[in-house]
Amino acid sequence: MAITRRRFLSTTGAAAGAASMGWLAGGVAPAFAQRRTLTALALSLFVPSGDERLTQIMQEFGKQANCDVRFDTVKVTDVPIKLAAEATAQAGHDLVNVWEAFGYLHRNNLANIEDVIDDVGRRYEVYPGHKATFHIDGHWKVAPWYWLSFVGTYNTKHFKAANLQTPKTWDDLRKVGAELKKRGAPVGIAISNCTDSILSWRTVMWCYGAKEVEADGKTIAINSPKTAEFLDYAKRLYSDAMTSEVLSWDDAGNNRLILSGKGGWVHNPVSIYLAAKDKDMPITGELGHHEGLAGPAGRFAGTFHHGLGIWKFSKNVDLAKDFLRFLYQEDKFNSWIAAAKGFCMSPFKKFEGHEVWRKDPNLTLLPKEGPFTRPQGWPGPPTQYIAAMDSKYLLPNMIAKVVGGTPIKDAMTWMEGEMQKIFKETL
Amino acid sequence: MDGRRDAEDLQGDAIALATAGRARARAAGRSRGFRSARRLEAITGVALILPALFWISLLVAYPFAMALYYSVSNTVVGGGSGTFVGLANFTALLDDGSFRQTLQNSVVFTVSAVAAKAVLGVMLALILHRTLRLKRLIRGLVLLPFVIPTALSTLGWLWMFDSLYSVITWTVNRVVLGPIGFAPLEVNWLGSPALAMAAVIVVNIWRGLPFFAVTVLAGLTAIPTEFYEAAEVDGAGRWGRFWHVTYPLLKPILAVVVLFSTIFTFADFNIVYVLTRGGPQESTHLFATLSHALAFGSMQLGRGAAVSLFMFPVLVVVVALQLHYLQRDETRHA
Repeated sequence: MAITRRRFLSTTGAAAGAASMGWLAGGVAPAFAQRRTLTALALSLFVPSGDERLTQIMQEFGKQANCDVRFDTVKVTDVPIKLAAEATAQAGHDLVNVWEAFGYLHRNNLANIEDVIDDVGRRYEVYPGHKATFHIDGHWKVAPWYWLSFVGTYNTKHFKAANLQTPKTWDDLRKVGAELKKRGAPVGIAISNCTDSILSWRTVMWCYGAKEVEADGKTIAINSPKTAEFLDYAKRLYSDAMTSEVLSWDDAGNNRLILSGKGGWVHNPVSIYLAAKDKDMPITGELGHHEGLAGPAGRFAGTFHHGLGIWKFSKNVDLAKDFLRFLYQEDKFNSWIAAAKGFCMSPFKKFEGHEVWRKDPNLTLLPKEGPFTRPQGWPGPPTQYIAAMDSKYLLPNMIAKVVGGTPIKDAMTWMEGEMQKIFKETL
Repeated sequence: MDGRRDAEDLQGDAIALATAGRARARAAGRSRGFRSARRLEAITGVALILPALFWISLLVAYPFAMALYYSVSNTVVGGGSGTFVGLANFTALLDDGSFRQTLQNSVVFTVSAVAAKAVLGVMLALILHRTLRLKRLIRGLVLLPFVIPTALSTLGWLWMFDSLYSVITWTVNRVVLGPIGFAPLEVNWLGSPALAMAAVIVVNIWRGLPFFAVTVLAGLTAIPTEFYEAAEVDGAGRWGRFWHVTYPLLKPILAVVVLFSTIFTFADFNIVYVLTRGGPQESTHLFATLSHALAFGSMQLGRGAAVSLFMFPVLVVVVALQLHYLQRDETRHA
C-alpha cells in the first residue's frame, strides 16, 4: 500500500497522541524526564584548578548516582545576589556556597545536614571556627568546605636590608613597620570599604581584647576601654608605618603594593604569593609569610569560613547529601585540596598535614592558623546584625575617622550609635 | 396642462427621492465599511501592541510594583513577603546618617555631572558639526565611552586613579611639575572624600558626554542654514548666532537630554561600585549602591527598596515640570 502524506500524518499523529495519553494516564514521567540533575553554585576560586577538580568530582558522582551534574561559578560579589534571588524564588541550585553570615541569614531556607557532617566531623575533626559559623541553632546548616589563611606577607629583601626580624606581635609590627616606612617600604592594611579591611582589623581588634558584641550576639560592646586601646594602636600603626594609600584600597590594593616591590608587609591570604609564583614573577623569591600576630589578649584570626549548604526547597536534598558524603571521602577531598594549590585551607584537622602545604616552605605555616580562626561577630555568632554592620563597613569607617583626626571616644560613640540603629531596625 | 405638469412634478419628486435614497444607502454602506475597517484596524493595533505590553508588564511594571510593595514592607531575603509597615522604612531612612549622606552625595553627583555634561556636550557637538577631516571616524570614536560596558571602562579608570600606579599623577609629575623643578605630587585620588567624589563625577561625565553630544549634534543638523545666513545679514557674530539661533532651537532637545541624563545619573551604580564602593567613609554612596548594600549585604529588601524609591516622587515632579516646559515651548513655537 502506498503511503500518502495524509496517511503518514494521521498515523504518526495518532501514535504520538496514544503515547502521550499513556504517559498522562500512568502518571509517570517518561524516562528522559526522570533523570535528575544535581546543581551547585559557588564563587569562582582564585585558583581555577580547584573549580575544575570540583567539577570532575561532581561528574564522577554523577556517573555513580546515575544523575546529571552542573557546577556554576560566579564572581564573589554576585553570590549574595544569586542567593537572595534563589531564596526569594524558592528555586534554584541544590547546593550553594555560603560564607560567614550568609549561613545564618539563610538558615531558615537551608536543610539540616548533621546526618552528613556529624560523621565527617568524627572522622576528620572540624576546627572550632567552622563549627561556630555553620552549626546554627543546634543544627549543622552548612557543610564546612574551606577557609582562607590571612597571614603576614612580607618582602624579605626589605626586611634583610633593614636587618629586621619578622614580627611576633602587633606591637612588633608597628616598630618594624616604622623602620620599613622610613626606608620607603610601608606596611599596609586597608582602611576602606572592602571586605579585607573588615576582616584584618577585626583580627587586630580581637587580639587587643575588644569586640563588637557580647557572646549573646545582641549586646553591643564596642564602646569600651579595650576598643579605645585597639583604636589607639590602629592610629599609631597608620601614622608610623603606613601611607594614605590604604584609605582607598579595594581588596586587591595590598596585593598591588607588595607585587610592585614597594611594599614591606601586608595582611592577606597567600594569593599574592601564588599569583607571583603562577606568573613566574621576579618578586616570587622575595616573598615570605609569617604566622598570625598576637596582641595583649592573645592570638585570633579573622577569615572567610566557606561552606556548602543545601536549600530546603531543593528537589534533590538527599542526592545533594550523598554528594557531600562523596566529596568528603578522604581521597576526593585530598585531591580537591591539592588542586586548589594550598589557597583553600582544610576545615578539618585531619588534612592539615597535606603535602600541598608541606612541600612549599612558604606555605607550611598556613594550616597552623586553623585553631585561631573565629567567625565574624565573635564572640557572638555571625548574625544578620553583623552582616548589616559589614555592609556599611562600620569597623573600617570607625578606624578611618580616628586616623583622620576624630577623637577615639567620638569614633566609638559613632559606631555604637550606628550599631544601635542596626540592632533596632534589622529584623 | 396643469394635471400633466402635476404628474410630471410627482414623477420628478419620485426620481429625486429615489436618487437621494440610493445616495443615502450608498453613504450608509460606505459608513458601515468604514466602521468595520476602523474596527479591524483597532483590533490589529491592539494585537500588535499586546506583545510589547506583555513584556513591559513582565520586565518593568511587575518589578516596579514589587519594589513599591517591598518599600512599604519589612521583607527580608528568604523570609517570605513580610508584613505591611506603611512608611516606616522611609521615616527610618531620614533618621539614618548614612542615608542623609547618600542623599547629599546623590544631589552633588547628579547636579555637577549633568551640568558639566550639558555644557561640554553642546561644545563637543558644535565642534563635531563643523566640517572636519575624518568626520565619520571622529564621531565614531566619540561614541566609544558610551558603547563600552561601564564596569569594564571603569576598571580602566580604577587603574588611572590607583594610589600606586596612577597615570594621571605620573603625567602631572613628569610633564608639568618635573620640568619646572617642583617636587612630585602624591595624590590618593580615591582616598579622600572630596577627591573621590570628584573622581566618580569625572568618570560619569566621561561616560555620559557622548549621549549629550550625539543628540545635540542631531539637533544641530536639523537647523536650516538659512537662519544663520539671515542672522549674519543682520550682523550677528559667532556668539550672537549661537545665542539667538542655535540655543533657542536646541532648547527642546536639550530639555529632553537633560531629563534623561538626570534620571540615569541619579540611578548610577557601576561607577561608584567599581571605583569606591561608596567610600571613603560613605562619601560617594549613591542611592543604588546603598540600596544594593542594604538589600544584598544585610538582606533588608524592604529597606533597600525604600532607598531606591526615595527619590522617585522627586524625579516624577522633575519629569512632569520638564515635560510641561517642553510642551509649553512647543505650543508657543507652533
